[in-house]
Amino acid sequence: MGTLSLPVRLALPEEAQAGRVVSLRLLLQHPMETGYRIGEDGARIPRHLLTALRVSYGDRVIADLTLRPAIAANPYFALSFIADQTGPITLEVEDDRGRKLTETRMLTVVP
Amino acid sequence: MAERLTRRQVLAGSGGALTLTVLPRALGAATVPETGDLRAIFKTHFGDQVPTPGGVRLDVSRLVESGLSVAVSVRGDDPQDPPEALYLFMPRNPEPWGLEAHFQPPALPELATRIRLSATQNLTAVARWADGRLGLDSVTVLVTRGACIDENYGQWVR
Repeated sequence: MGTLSLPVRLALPEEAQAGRVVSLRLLLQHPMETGYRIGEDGARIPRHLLTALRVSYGDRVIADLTLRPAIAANPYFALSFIADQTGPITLEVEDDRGRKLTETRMLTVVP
Repeated sequence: MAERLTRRQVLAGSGGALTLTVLPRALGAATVPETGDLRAIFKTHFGDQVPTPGGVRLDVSRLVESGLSVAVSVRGDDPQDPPEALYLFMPRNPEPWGLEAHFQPPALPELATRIRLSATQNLTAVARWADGRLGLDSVTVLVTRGACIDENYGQWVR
């Protein structure tokens, strides 16, 4: 499986109080090309999509999203979860060419 | 001089007036005729189970300038009874199934994103609970400029 490389902006606090809601905001720079558009040369622009987004907290997959052409270019997602343990937050993004991007941040949970 | 007016000519001639008169009416209308059959879409996703209104909340502007990027948020209504999955359906898009999200605690069953809408339609969010219940919320979104018009070349692409 190849590596997917694209600009990622991730907003996630480094520290959170136990039991509090943590919000995670993610902006990926990607065309989300649907395959319906016609380019300047009159030919269809080939489909090129991000297809999956998974968020793990520790060893639990807490959100698993299937992305479809209806997701706008430069996909934005806001998710939230309750802080219950110190651990890594891992994002996995997949595209339709079998490539994968992984991004990990540590979340420290204080009592 | 018995030249027949074609539908096209009539539309072109009265375009401005039509837009002005139709817009406020469309805004007030509760429903939009669907070309995409939501029931068929539900059938492929949920089998014989039919989602009933309630249990999930869909937030989106009712009037959007451009269908290229429309901010939406979906969440389960009752924090004590969180759904395990949320779906977004755009019945008049070329591909009506837009998003599927599965949640596990401690994630909250809510998300915000930006979507494409090809035309004015009833954007529909469905929630599915672990016991198999299905709930839906639907909002008619009036799209003045759909996502299927190419931004750069101004032609319809399908």
